[in-house]
Amino acid sequence: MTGFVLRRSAVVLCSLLLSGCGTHYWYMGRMEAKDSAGKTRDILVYWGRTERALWHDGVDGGVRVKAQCGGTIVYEEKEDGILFRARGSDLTAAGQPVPLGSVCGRVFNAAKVADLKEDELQVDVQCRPKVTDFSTSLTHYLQAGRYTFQIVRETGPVEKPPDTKPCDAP
Amino acid sequence: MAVDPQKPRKVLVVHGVQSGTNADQNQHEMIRQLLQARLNGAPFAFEAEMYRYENINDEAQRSLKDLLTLFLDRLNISTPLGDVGDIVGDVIVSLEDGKPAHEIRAGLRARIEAVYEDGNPLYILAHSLGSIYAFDVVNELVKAGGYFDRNSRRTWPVQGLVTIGSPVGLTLFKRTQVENFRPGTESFRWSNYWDRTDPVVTGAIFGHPPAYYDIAERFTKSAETSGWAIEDHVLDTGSAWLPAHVGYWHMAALGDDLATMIGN
Repeated sequence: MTGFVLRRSAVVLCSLLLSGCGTHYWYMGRMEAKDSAGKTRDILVYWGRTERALWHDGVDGGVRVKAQCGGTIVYEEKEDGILFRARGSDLTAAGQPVPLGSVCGRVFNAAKVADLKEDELQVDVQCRPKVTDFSTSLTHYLQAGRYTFQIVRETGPVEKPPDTKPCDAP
Repeated sequence: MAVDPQKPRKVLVVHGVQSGTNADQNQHEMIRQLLQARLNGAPFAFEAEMYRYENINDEAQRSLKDLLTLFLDRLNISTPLGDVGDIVGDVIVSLEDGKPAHEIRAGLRARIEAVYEDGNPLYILAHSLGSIYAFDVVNELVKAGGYFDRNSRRTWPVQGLVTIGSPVGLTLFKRTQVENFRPGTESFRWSNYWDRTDPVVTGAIFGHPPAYYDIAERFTKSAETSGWAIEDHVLDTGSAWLPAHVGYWHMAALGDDLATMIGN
C-alpha cells in the first residue's frame, strides 16, 4: 500500500515538475488587406505551440486572424478540418443569413493545426459580419476573399504574443 | 428596462475554486488588462467587475475548517494543507447543491439583474467551478421567461458567456444540456476554452491530453432550434496539467475573442 502511494506521489510530483518545462513558439504572419468595412488594415494571423522534451506538446486548437482596430475570426480545428464557422452574426458575402455552424472560411494547408509549418498559409473568408445596433469597429474582420500569409516561427513566452499594428498607426 | 447598446459593455468575472477570502479575488483586473492590451488602441468602452462568493463558501465550511486548523496546528503543519481543505470544500459546496450553492447562484443572478436594470450590455466570463454557477444562472434566466426575446438583444440580461477551464463536461457535475431559447433570429453565444492537459476540464488526473474536440458543443443537438451558438476552443496555455488550469488569464487568444464577442 505504501509503495503504491509513493509511486503515485512520484508520478504526480514528476508531472508537476515537467509540466512547466518546454519551449513556446509563436507562429505568425501579417499582410495589409481590407476589412469588411472596406478599410485597409494590418492583418495578423497567429497561433501558439509548446514543445516539451519529456511531456506532451501543446498547440492551440485554432488559427486566429485579427484585423487592426477590428475583430478576430477563429479557424478552429475539428474532425473535418480547420474551419471558421458561422457564429450567428455572420452573413454570406452577398448579405444572406448563414446558418449557425456553416463554413465561413477554411485553412487549406492542413487538417490539423499541429501540422501547419513555417510556410505559406492559405485561408479564405466566405462571410461578412452582420451589422446591428450592437456593432462596433470590433465587429469587422478580414474582407471575404482568399489570402496567402507567409508564416514565421519565433520563440517567445505566452505572455508576449504578437499583435497587429496599434489602431492609431498609419 | 432594456439594454442600451450605446452604454459601456460590462464583463462580469466569476472566480473558481479558491483559497483565501473575497478580498483575494481580483481576476477581473487581469481580464481588464488583457482586454486593454488586445484592443491595441481601438476605441472601445468597457468595464470589468468581479462576482465574489468565497465568503459564502468559507462560512459554509467554517466548522470543517476549524476542525482542520485545530488538527494541523496539533501537527504543527501550516497553510498549504489548509488551502487544499479550502479548495476541496468549495467543490463539495457546489456538488451538495445545498443552501450555500443556492445563495451563490442567487447572488450572481441579483448582480446580473442589477446590471440589466442599469442597461449595460453584460458578458460573463467564468473560471473553473465558477463556470458551473454561471451556466446554471444563465439557464435559469432562460427558463424563467420574461427575458431573452431572440428577436431583440435589448431583452437579454446576459449577451454572452465565456467559460475557461470549466469542469462542466465532467459527469460529476451532471450538466448535460442547455435550456432552449424560444424561437427567434438571434443566437446566444457560449464560448468554452480549455487546455487539453487541464485535468479539471478533462478529468484525466495525470493530464494526458484527450483527442476529442467538443465539450460544451455536446450540450445541444441543434444550434438553430436551441438558440445557443456554442463553440469549444482549445488553447495551449504554455503550461501543462494543474498549472494549465490557472494559465488562461493571460492568453492573447482569449483576449482577442472576448474583445470580438463584446464588440458585437
